[in-house]
Amino acid sequence: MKTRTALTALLGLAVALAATTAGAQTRKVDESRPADPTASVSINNLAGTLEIAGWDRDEVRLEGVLDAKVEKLEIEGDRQALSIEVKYKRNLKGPTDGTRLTLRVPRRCALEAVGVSCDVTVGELVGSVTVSTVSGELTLRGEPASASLATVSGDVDAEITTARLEVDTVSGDVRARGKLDDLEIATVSGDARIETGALRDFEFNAVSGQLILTADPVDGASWKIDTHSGDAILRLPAKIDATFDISAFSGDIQDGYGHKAERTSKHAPGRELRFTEGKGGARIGISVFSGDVKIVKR
Amino acid sequence: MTTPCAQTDRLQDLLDGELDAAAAVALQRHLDSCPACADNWADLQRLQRDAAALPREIAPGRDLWPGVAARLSEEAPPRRENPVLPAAVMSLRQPRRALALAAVLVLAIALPRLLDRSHRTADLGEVLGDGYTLLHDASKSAMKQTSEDLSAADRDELDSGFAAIDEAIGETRRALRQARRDPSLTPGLAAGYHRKLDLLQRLVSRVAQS
Repeated sequence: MKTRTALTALLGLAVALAATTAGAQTRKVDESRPADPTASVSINNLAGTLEIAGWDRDEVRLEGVLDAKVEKLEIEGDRQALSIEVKYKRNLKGPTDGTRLTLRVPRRCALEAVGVSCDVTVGELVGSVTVSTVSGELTLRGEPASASLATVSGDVDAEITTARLEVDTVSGDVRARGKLDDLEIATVSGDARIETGALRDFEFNAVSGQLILTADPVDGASWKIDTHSGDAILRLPAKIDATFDISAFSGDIQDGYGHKAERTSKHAPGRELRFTEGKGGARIGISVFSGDVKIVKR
Repeated sequence: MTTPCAQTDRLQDLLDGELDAAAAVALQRHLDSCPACADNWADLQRLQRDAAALPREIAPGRDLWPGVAARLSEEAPPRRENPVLPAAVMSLRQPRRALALAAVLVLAIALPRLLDRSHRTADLGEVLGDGYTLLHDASKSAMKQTSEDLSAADRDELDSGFAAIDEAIGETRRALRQARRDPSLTPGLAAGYHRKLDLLQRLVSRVAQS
């Protein structure tokens, strides 16, 4: 009985200690600042999570918890340009992902968010959005005027309506859906899956990353696709007005509209395929080195 | 537009002196009667002359470095009123990032000259190699400046990215040499090469800004 009592006491002590330690790991933050509707707002946070959403107030509000390794929260600037920086202690060791922040900003503001291993989610904004992380995942929703997203290994998921979306990754995969007028993607080994309707300007530059594009080229559209060893798969409407200029050094070219690629020379492995469908109003250029090109008629 | 001729493929060999005497004489005679080959021959000779006239080395930026780096290392001005380059401005507040960004700017200055040069020369593989060496060295320098803040996994990821671009560029250069037998491939390969350099530059730029 004594043993059981002692064990219970020890367990209680352990629970109390754990609760105290957990309390010390994070600290709450709740800060507000006045901001113009079209203010520039930037936030810089190393790790953890950051959720950013627009609202209809002329105010910036930051809520959540900060990791114990955060030295201080620095908020500078005025109602036109506000800068928020979560400053961590030097020589960090061990996990630093305890920071969980929610940022509310004026819906029309120009937002910039920078992280390292911080996952960033952005939504309900109609101004410009610029987000970059190293390994953090990026999620973007809503109708930003324009968006520029960059990661090294983090994946990018954008379901948006925008005039221009620009994405750079090293190995992170890209998924973009919605209404995209102008899209530019540069990646080394990340795969990109794009599903959109009318697409005017499109640039894709990859080394081993694969592209799967489902879109409709509008009249006057300009698409430039360049991959080294990655495949380029385009799923296009059955009726299309476009001029195609496709070349492959050692890769294969398959065209769902029924045209056959030709060897560029009997002395070299190159293949090319040029053809026009309909009025040819859109220009689609695809260049691959060893990757394959597949044009699929939807 | 002139009609393509099967002999066109052999003009580069003639220029390189790789044909035996009889074949060379026969092809020279053919040039008198074939407008397509005569045009191509004139282009090839012009390219060779241009290439020979180019400097063997370009040292862009070397003398620009101190000035660019010094300006970038200066204290950043107060937070912008007009957020034109927000990420870049943010990076200027940190000297190491500023140096990395300086490397990127040097690349931006040097690259157009190299690309312009590459369009005018006969040995694209060689000249593009010069451009790549410059870009590669500057990229490594920029990475060294920035990677201290990254985890080992992130550094590995970036190294893999650079290695992949390296490999792709190497393959393209080898293909450019092979393409001497099929000049129609050269513009596409050169464009692909430039796109890899562009990707490398963007990668460094993004790392510097992150």
